Amino acid sequence: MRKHPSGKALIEIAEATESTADPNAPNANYVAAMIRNARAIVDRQADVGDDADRAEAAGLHALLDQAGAAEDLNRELVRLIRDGTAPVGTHAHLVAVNRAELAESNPRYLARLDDED
Amino acid sequence: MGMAGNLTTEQTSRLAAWLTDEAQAETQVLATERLSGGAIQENHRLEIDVAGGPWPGRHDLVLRRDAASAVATSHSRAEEYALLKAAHKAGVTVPAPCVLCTDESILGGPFFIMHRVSGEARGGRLIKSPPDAALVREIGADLARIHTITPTAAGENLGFLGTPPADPARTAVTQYRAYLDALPDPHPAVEWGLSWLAEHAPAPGEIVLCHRDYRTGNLMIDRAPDGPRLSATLDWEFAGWSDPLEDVGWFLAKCWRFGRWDQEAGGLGPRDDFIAGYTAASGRAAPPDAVAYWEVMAHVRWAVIALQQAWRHVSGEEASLELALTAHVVPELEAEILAMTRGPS
Repeated sequence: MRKHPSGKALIEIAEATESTADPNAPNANYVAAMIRNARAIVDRQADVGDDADRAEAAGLHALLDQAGAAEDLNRELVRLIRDGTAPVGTHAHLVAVNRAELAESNPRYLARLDDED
Repeated sequence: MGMAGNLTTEQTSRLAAWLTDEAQAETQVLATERLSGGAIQENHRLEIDVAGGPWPGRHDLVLRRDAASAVATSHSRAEEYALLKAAHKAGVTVPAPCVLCTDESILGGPFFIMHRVSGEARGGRLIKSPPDAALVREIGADLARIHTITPTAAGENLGFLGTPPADPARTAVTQYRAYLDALPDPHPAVEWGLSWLAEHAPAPGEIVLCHRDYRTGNLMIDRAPDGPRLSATLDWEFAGWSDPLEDVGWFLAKCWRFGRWDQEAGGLGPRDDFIAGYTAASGRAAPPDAVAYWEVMAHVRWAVIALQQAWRHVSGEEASLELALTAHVVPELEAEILAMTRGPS
C-alpha cells in the first residue's frame, strides 16, 4: 500500500513549498532537490496507476483466501503477523509489495539491491 | 563587541554579567554567532575573555539553548548537560561542558556552555573520504566508553532517565507496536519485522547508558594532519538505558551508511575494525547474530519514527515537504527488514 502522502497530496505540498521557497536561502539546493524528488515519485505513481494496488489486492486475496478491500485485508494481515499466525507465503507477498513500492519511491535503490544479489 | 548573532545586545550584556559571576572575574563577550543547524536547539558560537580567576584568558565556546520551536519530546537542556557531564567524566569524546544556567532571566530560557570543537559532522560529506579502519576503531572504542556508564554508577545524576528496562528488546517491540497502532494505516512489513524481533529477542543482559542515535551524522570528525580523528559525539537527546548492542547495531545499520553500503561501519570504514575497537575497549563480546538482531531493530525503529514523522504532515499537525517525503524512505527500510528476516514463511 502506497505510503501517505502520495499522488495529489504529495504534489500539493511540493507546490506549496516551491511557491514560498527562498532561492537565496542557505538550504535552497536541498529544498529544490526535495521538490524534484516529490515530483518524480508522483510521476512514477501516475505511470503505474492502479496496477500496483490491484496486484497487491490480488496477492492479499490469495494469501488470506478472503475477499475485501486491500486496506482491510492489510489490517487482517497485520493482526495475523502479530499473533504469530501469518500464512505461509507472507514474506514473499510482502517482498513483492515492497518491490512495487520501491520502484515508485526510489527505483535506484531497488536497482542497487538487485545488483547486490 | 563583535557580531551580534541572534542574541540581542541586552541578552549579551546579561550573559557577560552572569559569566563574570560564574568565572569570579571580569568577563567580556567578544563575539557571538548563531551556528547553522538545530531546529529544536540553537547553538551559538561564543568567544569570551576572562580577566583572571580560575579560568583566565580567551575561550572559544558554544552556547546551546532551546529554539523558539522547541518541542517537549527531547531531553531538557539541564538533562542534556547532565548527560554531557557524565559522558565527559567517563572519557567519551564530547565537548567539555563548562556551565549550566537555569536562570531564565538571562536569555529567556535555560542554556549551557561547552567548549567549541572543530570538525565535520555531515554524513554526506564524511563518506566521500577514503575508508578509514583506524577511525572506525577509534569510534568503536569511544562508544565503549559511553557504555561504561551504568544506572548504579550514574545514580541520581541521570535519574531523569527513569527506571532501566528489564528487557530492552521486548520493551522496544511493545513500544513500537503501540506507535504503529496509533497510526491510521496498517504497515504489514514493519509489523513483520517486529514479530521477528519479538521471536528472536536476546535474553536480557547488562543495561548501560546508550546514546540511541549513535551514527554517522552525529559524530564530529576532525581532519587532523595525522589523519581523521573523532572530535565530538553530538545530539544526546535520545540517550537512555538499554542493551549496549543497540548502539552498535544502530551505528552499523545499512540505513546509516549514507549510501556507501560497502563500508559497513557508518559508511566510514570496515565493520570488523569498528567491532574490534568496541570489543577491545569494552571487554564485551559482540557476537554477529546479536549485532544483526540490533541492526534489524535499527531499521524497524527508524521505519516507525519515519512513519510518525510523515503522519505529522498528513494529519495537518505540521505541513512540511521534508516530513512528507520521510514516508517514502520507509520502503527502503522495509526492503532491508524483509531481507534480514527471511524465514520459513
